[in-house]
Amino acid sequence: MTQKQENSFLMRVVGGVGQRLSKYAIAVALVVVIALFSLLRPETYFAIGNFGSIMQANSSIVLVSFALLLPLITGHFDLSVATMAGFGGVLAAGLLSFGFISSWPLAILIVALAGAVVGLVNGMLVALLKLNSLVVTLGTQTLLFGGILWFSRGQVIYDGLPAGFLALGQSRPFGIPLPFYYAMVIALILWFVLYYRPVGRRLYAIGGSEDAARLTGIKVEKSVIGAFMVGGVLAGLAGVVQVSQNGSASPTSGAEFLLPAIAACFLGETSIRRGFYNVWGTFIAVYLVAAGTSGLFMLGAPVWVQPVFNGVVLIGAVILAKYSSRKGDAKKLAGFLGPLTRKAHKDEATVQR
Amino acid sequence: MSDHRERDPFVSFVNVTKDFGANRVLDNVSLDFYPGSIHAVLGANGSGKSTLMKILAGYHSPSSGNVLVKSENMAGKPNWSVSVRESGVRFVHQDLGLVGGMSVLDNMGLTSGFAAGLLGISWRKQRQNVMDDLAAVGLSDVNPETLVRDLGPIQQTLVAIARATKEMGGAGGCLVLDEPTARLPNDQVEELSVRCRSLRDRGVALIYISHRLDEVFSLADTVSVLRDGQLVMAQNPTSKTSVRELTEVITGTVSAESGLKISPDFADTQTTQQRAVEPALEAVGLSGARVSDVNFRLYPGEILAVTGLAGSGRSELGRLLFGSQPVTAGAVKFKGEDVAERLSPNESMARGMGYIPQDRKQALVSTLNVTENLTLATIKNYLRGIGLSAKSTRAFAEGAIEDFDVRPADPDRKIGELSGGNQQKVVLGKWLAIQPTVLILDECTYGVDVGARRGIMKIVTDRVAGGGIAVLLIDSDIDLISTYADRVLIMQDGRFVGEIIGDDITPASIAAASYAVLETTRPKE
Repeated sequence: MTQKQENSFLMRVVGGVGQRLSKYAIAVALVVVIALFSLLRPETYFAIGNFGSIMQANSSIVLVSFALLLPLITGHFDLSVATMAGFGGVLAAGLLSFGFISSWPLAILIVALAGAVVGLVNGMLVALLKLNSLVVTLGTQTLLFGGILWFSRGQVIYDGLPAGFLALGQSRPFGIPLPFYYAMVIALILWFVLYYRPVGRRLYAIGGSEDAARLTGIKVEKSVIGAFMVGGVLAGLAGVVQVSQNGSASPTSGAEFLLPAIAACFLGETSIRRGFYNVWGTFIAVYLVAAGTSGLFMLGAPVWVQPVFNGVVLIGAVILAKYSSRKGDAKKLAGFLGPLTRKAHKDEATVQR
Repeated sequence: MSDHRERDPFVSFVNVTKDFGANRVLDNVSLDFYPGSIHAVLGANGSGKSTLMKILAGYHSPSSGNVLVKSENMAGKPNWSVSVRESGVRFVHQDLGLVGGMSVLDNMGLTSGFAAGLLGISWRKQRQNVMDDLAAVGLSDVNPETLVRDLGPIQQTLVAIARATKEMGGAGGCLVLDEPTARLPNDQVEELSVRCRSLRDRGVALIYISHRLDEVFSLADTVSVLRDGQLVMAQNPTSKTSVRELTEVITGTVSAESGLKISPDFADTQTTQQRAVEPALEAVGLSGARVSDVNFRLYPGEILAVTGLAGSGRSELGRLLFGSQPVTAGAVKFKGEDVAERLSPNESMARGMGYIPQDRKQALVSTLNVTENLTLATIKNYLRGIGLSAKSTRAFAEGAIEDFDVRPADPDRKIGELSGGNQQKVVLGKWLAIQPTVLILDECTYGVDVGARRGIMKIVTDRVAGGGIAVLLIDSDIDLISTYADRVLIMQDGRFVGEIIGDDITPASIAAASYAVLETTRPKE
């Protein structure tokens, strides 16, 4: 009973984003979700420890989301970002643990370089050879997974990671996990670059109309490749953060970041800078999804609820992203769904329950 | 050709009127199309001929009037487009509607179905059927397994015709050909004519939509002309008209025979236009895409118009000069320097060249707002310190909106929400911000209302007079050209064939030159 209520409430809030309630609907939704679960589970959910762990655990997802955001702004998908994060983590941990190098800053630099190279390859295949980015990056994703298995020899790496390296992910200045600061700093930088540097304007122009951008003298290919490269670097660093906070690098980690990252980018598009993939919308969306997932977990929802929740959020985000910012499309959708809406609501409520 | 008069028309338009909002695009048009006849429908852009055919197809419904197919009123049918199809009317559009990556066999099967075997498709039977259909249009040497994109232009056109006329046996039918030669090289037009005549002789009613007068005379039995939605020549036998009369009727001008002589050997660089100043832009033997061996000089402070019929290569010329399409031969000189080796939109812009493409979707980024579009080409100029100044982009946008009278005067409005004319003012503003030396405008007032058109051209002429920029006005609108151009170059089949200067520039002279038929004996004046 209570669960059904709050789920439909959550859906109303998320739905409200689409109804152009306000530019900040996604932030409002985050507050509402936190308040809701805090009321239901005051002793566990509304605890510093819980917020700390949400912040910490999701900082890598924020970075992976940003890695996805950049190519997405130019109109291209990068499905390899999550596995690139996994690869970055394994690479850093392996370099240090297997004794290739002893300096952890050097290891991070190598990961960043590897990310740039992967981004370069993705970008060149997509921008120069005009290949479909979904397929290309699905391919590089698989290649990277092969690389992970080869380099890690299929083992979890946890030995011999220097203390300085582990502190990167585990210290908590002023009670806030260090990874959260990274996410904030990267968000600030990206926000500045995307909104206050010419290159940001160019990336958005390419995403809006590649032809128009090219005919306005923008070097489309160079810009798209650049977006993939910076994305690759960010994804690699996300993996480093993840490994340093876990204290180990698993060959299978990383892949689970993909879905939340895609959901965050699309959910973010519906707020803050509506109709555009944007930094703060994405940032907040990561935590909105995380807060919801954590709350469901604490309510003791059965194990199948979480993937269903994630799936609904992802598809819902894409629908909102498509129909919230365009009046005509929204009307078309409403006309199409009109007779179905009641039924659909009922169905979704059933799924949620 | 008079025998068909005794028969019933296959398709009849009876007093058809079509309004789009307040805009009347067809005004009380009545036309009959008879079996066993090739009937050409002519008209300039926007004359209403496409709308007429879209009404026949059931894509638009007429505001008033009827369309009869085999004497049956289509308006009374439950589904217009299905009924038209079932009555035997077929369309071959300019893009042919073939799937390039599929074989001829599959393309034929897509619309007309596959031969049924015991289980599923009988490929042997299907193959034989397709070969028969192809042979009927003279394509006996094409292997049905060939991919459509590997065929030549004429073969593709004939495949489309074979597909459309497949079921038109003795029962006859009606075939609408929309600009069928626009994509054909000249030497293949005759092949198409032969096939069209053979269809006519089988009793098919052909409706032939075209721009090119030479084809009309070599092919059509009957000709009708639309102008601004009105039927200005109705079912005239081609033998009773002339290039000159058709030109006058199509364009609504009375041609005062200008002394203009068009010639395939014309070269702008050999004309009287030799001036002391250096040209802002010069092409020498420029080729690429549809354009072949073009020469011209564009001087600072002049508006040089390039005109010609659809498919003449005028748009391609603009793209070549700006660097958005590869140059295969020749030189492009920008202020005397040959830049053909390094032509790209990016470098052209850096040199001071602006280009407004015909397709407005390529001219602006519809997701961005007015300010962002206005400043897109010059965005670096708005850096203050390390960041862009929203205040200065906004100040520029507000200035431009006022100068160019953009409505609504809202710098934050998404440009996609503006009317075409206002969008074009923003695009123009974007290019003028780079302080261009040369501005290439391709159909810059197409689909724009009269007021906005005047506004756009005022912005251009002010800059020409005040700033000495050179404008290449690529356009098909003869009124626009005759009002604003200092010089007009006529293009046909990718070459310049004539030039009109000064007082000789009139709607009539431009029309006559554009529609003039090369390489055929024109009536002597």
